[in-house]
Amino acid sequence: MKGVAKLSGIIGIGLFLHTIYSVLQHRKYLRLTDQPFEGVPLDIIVECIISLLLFSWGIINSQNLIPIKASTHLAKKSYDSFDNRPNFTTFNNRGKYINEIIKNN
Amino acid sequence: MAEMLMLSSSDSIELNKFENKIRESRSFNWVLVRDTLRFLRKSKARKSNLVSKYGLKLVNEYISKLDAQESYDIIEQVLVSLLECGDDENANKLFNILKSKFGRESVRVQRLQAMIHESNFQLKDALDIYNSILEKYPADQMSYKRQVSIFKCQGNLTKAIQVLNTYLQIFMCDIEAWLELSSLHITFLSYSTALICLEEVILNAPINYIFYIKYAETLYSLGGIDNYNMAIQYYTHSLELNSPTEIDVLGHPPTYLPAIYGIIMSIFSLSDENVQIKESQLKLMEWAQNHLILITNKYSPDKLTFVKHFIDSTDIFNKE
Repeated sequence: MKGVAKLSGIIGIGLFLHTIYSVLQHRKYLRLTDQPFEGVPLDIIVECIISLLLFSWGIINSQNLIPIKASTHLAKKSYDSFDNRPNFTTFNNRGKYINEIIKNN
Repeated sequence: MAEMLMLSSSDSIELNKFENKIRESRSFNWVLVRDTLRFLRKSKARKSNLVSKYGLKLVNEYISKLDAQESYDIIEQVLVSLLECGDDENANKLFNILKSKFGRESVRVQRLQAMIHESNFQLKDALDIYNSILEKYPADQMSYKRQVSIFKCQGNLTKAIQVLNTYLQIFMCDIEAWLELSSLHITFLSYSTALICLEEVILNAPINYIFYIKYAETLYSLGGIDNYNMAIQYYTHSLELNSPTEIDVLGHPPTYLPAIYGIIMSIFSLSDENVQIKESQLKLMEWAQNHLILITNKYSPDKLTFVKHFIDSTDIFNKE
């Protein structure tokens, strides 16, 4: 299945390049024969649509899709980090007493 | 016990790396210290000892090398952590630097002055300063919050809740304040009120998996069959947001362990209430147990015996 999808993706992009080439060729032909440009011929349009369909089908099916998660950046945050609320710190902790001990020694 | 078994996340691993590098480097590496302080400001982790010890040296000796804009941020950061460590002498020195630079009228300097008062337990002076700031600038959120923590410092929690409530009527989007309010309510064991606060938090940040865990934990603490069932739902939703499916591509230890412990405990408590446990919950329990062992095996194999013991003591499959 994945091999088929990959192949169809490659064919799709190949066809797309071919449509570009055909359009250029068509315009060149018109210029040489002195005809006004009225639009792209139908067969080129059909080819373009087919290449689009093949390419998108191939891209979607050629690999396993991974869910896009909105919260991947949050997954790195630890649970404890939300318990620290720096704006609400109080200073009546053991820091003062420990600091005195450290100084005296 | 669950806390002891909790794995640290990538943030704390990075922090440990910084800390070890600082402690190991023989000479004083000011670039490293600056980066560490920067990281701490961003991650909001609390490391007062580290910041006050190395930050003070950075400010005292290398201040000229720092970026002018950043240096004052660093001074403020170091000052607050010096106060937390109770080193008033050096804090006053740094405060004088800021005062001579920005003048007495600056709100931020005034606030720091009030914080110094707070750490000396001159709470009344500090309150007066905050009140005078609020008279001039009624939208100064920080001063409101400091007032709350003054009341908290006094042990006057009812007053703190009252002030915080009036603050939250004005600034409804402040997640930190809602969390603080919920934790104050939890100290009064009024879990149902804390739940309302946490609902506000979830509304403000619906994609943060941690708040769902907090909500579920409070539900679990309330107890009762309905609440256990609800707690399981919230724990699983948290898992959905921070999902364990890609364990092998994860670059850091998983952070969803509280949810897994919560699921195991909730289902265990449900079975204690003599309720018929649903098929889906049994499946969930089995998955949680297996996954817990898997993670422990991978990240901290030395704690496997603890985890196995925990699983054995909460096992509902071989209970009879």
